[in-house]
Amino acid sequence: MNNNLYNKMHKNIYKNLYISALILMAFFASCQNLDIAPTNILTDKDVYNAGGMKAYMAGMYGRLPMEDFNVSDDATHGGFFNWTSIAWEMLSTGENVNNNYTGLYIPAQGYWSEGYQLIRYANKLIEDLPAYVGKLDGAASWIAEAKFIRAYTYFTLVKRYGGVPIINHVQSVDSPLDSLRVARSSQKDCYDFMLSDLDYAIANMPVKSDAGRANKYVAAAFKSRVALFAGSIARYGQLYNYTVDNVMLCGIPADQANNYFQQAWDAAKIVEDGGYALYQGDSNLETNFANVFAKADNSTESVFIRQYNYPNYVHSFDCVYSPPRMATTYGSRFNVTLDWVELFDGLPKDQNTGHLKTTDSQGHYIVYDGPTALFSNAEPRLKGSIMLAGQTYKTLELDIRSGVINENIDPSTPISKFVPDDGVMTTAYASVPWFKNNVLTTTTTVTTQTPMVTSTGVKININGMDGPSNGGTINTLTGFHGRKWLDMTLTPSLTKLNASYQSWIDIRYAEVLLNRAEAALELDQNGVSTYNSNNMKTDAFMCINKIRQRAGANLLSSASDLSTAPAYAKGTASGSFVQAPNRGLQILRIERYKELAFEHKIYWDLCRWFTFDTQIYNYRRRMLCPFLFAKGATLDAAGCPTGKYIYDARVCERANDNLTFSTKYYYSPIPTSQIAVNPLLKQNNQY
Amino acid sequence: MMNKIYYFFTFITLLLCLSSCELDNYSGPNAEISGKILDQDGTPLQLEPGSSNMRIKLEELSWKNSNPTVSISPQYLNVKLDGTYQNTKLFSGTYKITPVEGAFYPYAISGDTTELKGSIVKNFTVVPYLQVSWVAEPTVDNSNYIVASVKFKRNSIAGVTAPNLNNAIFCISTNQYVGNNNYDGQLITGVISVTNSQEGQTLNFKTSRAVKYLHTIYYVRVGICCSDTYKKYNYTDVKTVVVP
Repeated sequence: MNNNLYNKMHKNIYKNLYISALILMAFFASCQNLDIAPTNILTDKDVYNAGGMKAYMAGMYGRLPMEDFNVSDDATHGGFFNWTSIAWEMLSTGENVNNNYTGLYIPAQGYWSEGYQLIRYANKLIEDLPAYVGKLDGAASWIAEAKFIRAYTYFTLVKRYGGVPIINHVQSVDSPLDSLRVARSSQKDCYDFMLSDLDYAIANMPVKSDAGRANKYVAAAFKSRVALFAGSIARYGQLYNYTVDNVMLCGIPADQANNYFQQAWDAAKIVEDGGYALYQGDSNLETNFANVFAKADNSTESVFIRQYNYPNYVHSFDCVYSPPRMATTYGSRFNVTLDWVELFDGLPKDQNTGHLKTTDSQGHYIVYDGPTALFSNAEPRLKGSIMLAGQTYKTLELDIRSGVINENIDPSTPISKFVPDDGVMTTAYASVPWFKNNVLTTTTTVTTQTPMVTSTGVKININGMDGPSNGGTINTLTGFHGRKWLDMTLTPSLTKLNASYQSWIDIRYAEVLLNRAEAALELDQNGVSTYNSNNMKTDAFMCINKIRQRAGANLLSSASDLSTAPAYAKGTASGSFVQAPNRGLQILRIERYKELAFEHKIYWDLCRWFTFDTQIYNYRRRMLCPFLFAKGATLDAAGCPTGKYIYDARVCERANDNLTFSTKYYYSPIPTSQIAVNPLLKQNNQY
Repeated sequence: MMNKIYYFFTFITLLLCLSSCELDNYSGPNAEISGKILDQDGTPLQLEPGSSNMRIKLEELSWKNSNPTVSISPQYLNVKLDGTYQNTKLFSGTYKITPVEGAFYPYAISGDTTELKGSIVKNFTVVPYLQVSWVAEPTVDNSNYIVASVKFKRNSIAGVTAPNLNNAIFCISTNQYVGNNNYDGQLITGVISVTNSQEGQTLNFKTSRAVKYLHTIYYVRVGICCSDTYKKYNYTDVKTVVVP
C-alpha cells in the first residue's frame, strides 16, 4: 500500500465521519425544550387575576346546587339544572299537585358527585389563594367567597343525607386509593363545619356584590337558614338519630339546640345592617306581593338571586306552570290545594273545622254573587300568590267552573251539600242523585265543548275555560291556579318552553325575618327569654307582624299570642292543617307556609320539624268546585259567564290519593353507586 | 386454495371465540327459606300480604367475609297475611335475617346469622306493640250495617319506651285480603283516633252506611297502630260476615 492510497482512504473515512455528523446534527435541529404548558389547560397564572377569578367564580355559581326554577325529577344532575320543572317537592306538602304527580314526590335524585366536584373547586381556591393575599387585590375576599360556596354545597348534601364526608382540601389523584376514601362525619360536625365557613365568609366578604354573587350579608342570611336547620334537628329529630360505629350520621344531640338557634338569630340580625328590607314599593298590597317576584332584580328584599339570560341560560317555568290556556304547550302544573288557600285571612271559614265555609247552618250551600265574591276580602298576599276567577291575567279572564245548575233551579232553592268535606270521602259527583238530575257537567275538552244555552239565549261553557279538570283535558285538579313567580307580561303566545328568564330569589328578606322569629321563639320557649339584651318573644312578635303587615294579613295583637298553649289539632280550627308542638310555633309555621310556599322551602321545613309523617298521614288534598246557576246568568265584557255561584269544598275529585309520608324519607339514601366506590360510606337507616 | 385458507381462518376464529367459554361454576338460586313470624306467645302475627305491613331483611354476608371495603345491599322478602313467608329462589350463603318495619319492637339479636342451604325453616319471635282481640265478633245489624267491637292490650319490653297509640281502622272487604291496604272506602270513613288510656276498654265500630250487596260474604278485621316510625297496624284475625 503506498502513501497515496493510504491518504485517499484516510480522507474517505473523515469524509464519512463529517457526513454522519452533519446528518446527526440535522436530527437535533428539531430538538428544543418540549416542556411547555399545555395550551388547552388553564394554569394558576390564567386564573389568579381579576378577570380569571371572575370567570372561575361564574363557573362555580353556575354549578351552585340552588333549588331554583330548574329543579326536576331528572337525575342527570342530581335533580338540578333541568328544564322539566314539573316535579317539585311542594307536591308532597299540601301546597300543590299536578296531573303528573298525584302521589308524593320525594326529591331524592342522588345529588352527590357534582357536589363534591364543586367542593373541590372551592377547596382549590381556599388552598391556593392565601399565597396571593397582599399581592392580588381581592384575594382575601375570594377565599371567603369560596368558603361560602363550599358551605352552600355542603348544605345541599347534608339536608338530604345527614352527615357526609368532610373534604376540606384538594385531594391528590396520585394518593393511594385508601387515603382518598373518606367516611361520613357526624351530622353535627358537618353543621359546625358549614357554620364556621359561613362565619369566615361573614367576617371577610365585602358588604356589596353584583347581583347573583354572595357578600357578607348573603352569607349571614344563609347562615340563619343553616343554623335554624341544625337547631330544629337537635330539638325535634331525636327519634330519627342514627349512629353507626359511634358516629351519629343522622341527628344532632338535643342539648345543642339552643346554641344553634342563637347562631341563627345572630346571623339573621346581621342581615338587618345590610340595608335589606321587605319590598313595599306598591301601595296596592296584592300588586306589591306579586312584585316581590316580578321585580326581583331591583328589590331591597332580594338577598340572593340567580339570574337567567335569554337564550343562553333559561327556564320553562311560565310554560309549565301557567294555566293551559295561557301557554303554548304544557301548562297547568300549578294546582294549588284548598288546604293551602284556607290558611289565609279574609275568607269565610267554619269555626269548628277551619275549612272554607261553603254551607249555612242547615248544611245548604251559600249562594255567592258572581265569580269573585267569595274571595273579595281575601288577604292580599293570597291574591298575589294565586290566580282567582273573574280576574284578568296574561290578557285572559280566568274562568273556573265545575258545572252549571239547571235553569229550572232557582238560586234561592236550598241545596244540600253534595259530598261531605271531611278530607276522607272521595265520592264521585255522578253518584249523588240530586247532582245527577240537576247539574250539567261535561267531560269534553274545554276548547271543543258545546255550550249550554239558557232560555234568554246566553251561551255558557259548562266547564270553565280554566278548569277544574273534567277528565277530558289536562287542567287544574284543585280549582286553583298559582300565580307566584309567573311573568304576567308574557302573553299566552309567547309563553313557550325554554323562553323564560325572570330571576329566582333563593334568599329573600322575608325568609330571614321568619328565620329570626323562629329562632327567637324556640329560644324563648326553651329557657332563653332574653338574648343579647333582646326579649325573644317580642322580637318574634315584631318580625311576624312585619311580614303580616306587608302581606295585608291580620296582625298579631300582642306577643302573648305566641303562647305555649296546645296547638290546634287537625280539622279543628283555621290553620290546623299545619302541625306544631304548641300554638306559638303553629302561628310561626303557618306564616312560613303562607309566605314561602312554592319556593322550595316548606318541604325541608317539614323535614326539620319532623312533623312530615304526622301531618302528611292519610292525607288527601282538597279542592274547591264552583257551580253556576244557569238561571239569571249573563256574560261579562270578556265573554265569561257570571251569575250566582255555589262552591263545593271536597277531596280532589281527580287527585284523591291517600298520602302518607314515610319516616325513611327524613333522610335520603346515600347513592349506592357511591357506596360501591367508597365502602366507608354507611347507608342511612331504613334503606 | 382460497377456500382452504378461508375455512382455515374461520376455524381458527371459531376456536378463539370458544376458548373463553366454560361453564359458570356458581350454582343458581337453589336455596329455599320459609317460616313464620310469631308473637311472644307463639301465635303467628296477623299481617297485610306483601310489604306494606312488614318485611324480612336479608343481608348476604359470605362475599363480604369481614372485608371492610365490601358493602352489602340488603334484599327483602314479603310476607303473607297469616304471618308466614316463603321464598324458593335464594342463593345459598350466610345471611343475616331480620324482620323489619313492622308494628313490633325492634328485632335485635345481633350476630344471629343463618346458613342458607337447601330448604330451611326459620321462625322469628317478635313482640308486637299491641294485642288486638275481638270483644264482639262482626255481625250485620238489622239495618244492614256491620258492627264489631275490639279491645287492645299494650305489650312492653324492658329498656324500650312503648310508642303511644295512634289510631284504629275498621277494614271491610269482599275478598279475604282485607287490611289497611285493601278495604272498601265506601263503608268506612277513615280512621278513628285511639289514646293510651283506652287500653282494655271496648272500642266499637260500625260501618258508615249499610252494606251495598246482599247475599255476600264480607271479610272484616280491625287494625290499631301506634305512633312509632312506621305506623303499621296490629290486626285482629279476619272474620267473615255473611249478609243474608
